Amino acid sequence: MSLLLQLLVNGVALGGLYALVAVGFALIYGSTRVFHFAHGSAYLLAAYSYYWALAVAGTAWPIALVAATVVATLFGLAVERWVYRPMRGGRQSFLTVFVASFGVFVAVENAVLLAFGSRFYTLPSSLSRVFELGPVVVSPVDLLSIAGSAVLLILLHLFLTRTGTGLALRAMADNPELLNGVGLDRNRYARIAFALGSALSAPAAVLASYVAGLTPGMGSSAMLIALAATIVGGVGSLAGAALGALLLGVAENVGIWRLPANWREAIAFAVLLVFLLVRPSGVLGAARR
Amino acid sequence: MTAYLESLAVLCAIAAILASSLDLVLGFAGIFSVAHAVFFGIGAYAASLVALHLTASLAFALAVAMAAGAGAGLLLAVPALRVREEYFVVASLGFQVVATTVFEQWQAVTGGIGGLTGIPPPTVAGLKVESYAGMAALSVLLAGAVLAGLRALVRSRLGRALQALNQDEVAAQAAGHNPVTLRTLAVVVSCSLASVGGVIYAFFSSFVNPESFTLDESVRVMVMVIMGGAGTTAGPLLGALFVTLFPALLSFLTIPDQFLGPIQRLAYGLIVVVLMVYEPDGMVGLARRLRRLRALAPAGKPGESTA
Repeated sequence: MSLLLQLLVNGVALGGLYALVAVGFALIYGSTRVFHFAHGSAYLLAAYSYYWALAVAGTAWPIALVAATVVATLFGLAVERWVYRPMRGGRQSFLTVFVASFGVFVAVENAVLLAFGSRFYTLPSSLSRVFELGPVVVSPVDLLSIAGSAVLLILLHLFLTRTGTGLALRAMADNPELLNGVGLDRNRYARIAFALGSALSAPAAVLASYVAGLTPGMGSSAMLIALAATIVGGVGSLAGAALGALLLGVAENVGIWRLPANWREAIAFAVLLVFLLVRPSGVLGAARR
Repeated sequence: MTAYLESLAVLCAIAAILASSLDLVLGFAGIFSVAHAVFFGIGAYAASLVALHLTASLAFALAVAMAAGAGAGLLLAVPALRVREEYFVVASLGFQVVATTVFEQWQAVTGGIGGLTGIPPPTVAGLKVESYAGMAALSVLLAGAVLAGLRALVRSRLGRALQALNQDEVAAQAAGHNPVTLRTLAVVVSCSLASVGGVIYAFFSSFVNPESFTLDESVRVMVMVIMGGAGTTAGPLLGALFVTLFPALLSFLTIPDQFLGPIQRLAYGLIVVVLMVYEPDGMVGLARRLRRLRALAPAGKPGESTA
């Protein structure tokens, strides 16, 4: 029983990090309809920027965190400006945008590989040292993941519901044409969605680096989970994406209670497939195909 | 050097088979699958198991592999009938990830991460095909057969019904086409043909492991189709040749070995982005545009024909 509780706590900590990446993706996808596969690149760049600032340049962690967030945000703005905006409104289909996005993803992953090599980096820290908390064993990173993602998601929710900009973003998700109709600039809100969505992946990347270290492949696994969570949660629903991510994090951890650890990713995607077949609109999605 | 060219010919033939068979579902039926490498893998494992335990007969291996590919294709057809577009992309993504794990973990059948080794060379009509040249000729012949078959299929009544369904489902249904049968058939045929590529791959490399059948490979095949031009006959072939030969071209440059792979993939990624941004119809679209420019050239100002 305490094992199950332990796996549940681990699952929530992992799910919280997934949620930040997934909500960023869902925000971008919902408001701009860009299937931003390269969202994983923002995550990858944030992780390596943090590592570089901390371990190579020797700055303090808050500065490194800011640097990571800035790099992720700039990356999001750059692809919006130079890749997706020229593609908007042409003959481009969903697939062309997907393939272009994939091209960005491959280019970034290999640029990182050239700059840092394929070796595995770890962050030296006492943050991942575990201690007992009641019946379970946790590390400070676990607690930070849970608290940090909760705070950031609540802030995002307040931003989207209480400010004019947030309202416009949500309006754009419902009906992009409407935004032009009331005299708001779509490009400006697309920029905000990309900046915000990409920035959210930075804290997730940093915390995940403390837990699992850094490899050039980390972006692709984060991206896959974010995609799965968005679909499980229901396209167009940020709360659904967050919930989907939590569900996948917990499913992965509880799943290895009975199955070998190598099945983690497969478990998450089996959950996804079942959802797609049983409830294609997701947990919280609106009823659409 | 000849051996190198012959092995490139085999790889091009495999790529052409994968890209053209994927285009049947992607370009003609509008089903966006990123799980094509799964069927490539199923074909390779089926051929390896047949060759290792029963007979090295190519015809027999092909029959078993195509049947296995078609059977697994039925599994993918289930979500294809339920969900469309981005939902199906993600469903096929899920299918791919689960299949990769099965390839890696099902020790008894796939040999796990180590894979299956010591696959004997194939026999055709009792003759052993051992040389690279023989393998290259065989692969090109098989690819030719698959491409010709697909071309005939696309131009048949069935192929036209499929395209009609993709363009306007309601109208196609009103014309008496059954979407469930048509889509299932397209997926099953496409998957079954992809496993032909797997058979060639298994016999050619004489060992198979899960690394060759991952999501990366699936997306690579998808990139071939989109880059070349989806929904055309020449497009997937052009895309397959480009994606396969491009790294080979770069390997003639004098780049230190440890940088070569990343530089190849970096350049490939950038080319994909630039092509998609400026010519979403892919290389076929690019060729069409050039032809139009050339046709216009005599009428335009002299000396501006390449503008």
